[in-house]
Amino acid sequence: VKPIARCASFVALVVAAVLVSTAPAFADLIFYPIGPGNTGVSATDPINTIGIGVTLLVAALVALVGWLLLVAVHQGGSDDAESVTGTPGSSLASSDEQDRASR
Amino acid sequence: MIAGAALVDGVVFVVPLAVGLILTLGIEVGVAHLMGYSSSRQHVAVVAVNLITNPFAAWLTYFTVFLFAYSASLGLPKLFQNPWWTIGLAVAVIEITVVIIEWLLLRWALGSDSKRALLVSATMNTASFLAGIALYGLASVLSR
Repeated sequence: VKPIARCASFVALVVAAVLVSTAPAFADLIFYPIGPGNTGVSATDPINTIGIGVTLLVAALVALVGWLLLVAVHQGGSDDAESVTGTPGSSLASSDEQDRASR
Repeated sequence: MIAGAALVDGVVFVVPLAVGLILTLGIEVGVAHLMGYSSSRQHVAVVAVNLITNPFAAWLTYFTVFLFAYSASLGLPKLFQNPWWTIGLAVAVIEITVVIIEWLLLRWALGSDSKRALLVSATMNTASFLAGIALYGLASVLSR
């Protein structure tokens, strides 16, 4: 039953996202400047170099935030330790303590 | 005036990228959750890898569209002047690169099994890509 429920949830999620996003104004917002029929791009328009540059700068700032988040996650421990012991790194700590106690 | 123009031009580009990023985060975190990445730490890792890859991927996609829109005036060969398959090829290369980068970052950040991280990365990116295709198709139909 579980895989079917998961598949159904996934399909529901995608359908919901599609339904919510396809309000025409919202769709225009998402697909501008590609736009249906490339409406946002015309070879006669001047190249928007400032827009391209500003967007690249914003992309770099967002990526920096993502990288800092990822480093914080990395410092939190590993999945393998978590799955065996329930808390990251606790198996290592407890075995070290047992070693010391036995000596 | 130049700063004002830059701000307007930037907003024109950044708003659709932000909306795309939010949609991508919703879909990919949901898919990752269904595939067993259910702890808050794993959710944060999925959000973080998307913050790193999505803006650059979207920017590269838009840049590719611009490149092909101006291909004739830039004097590119005729091969590059048929936007649909050339843009499709560029998007495929960008998507595959994103899958590989997110796989390596998830494996590193979570210290999880390599195959599992690859499966999660490939599945969540396929889901968001297909959702994007579906949205584009529906938007095209609605705009007629």
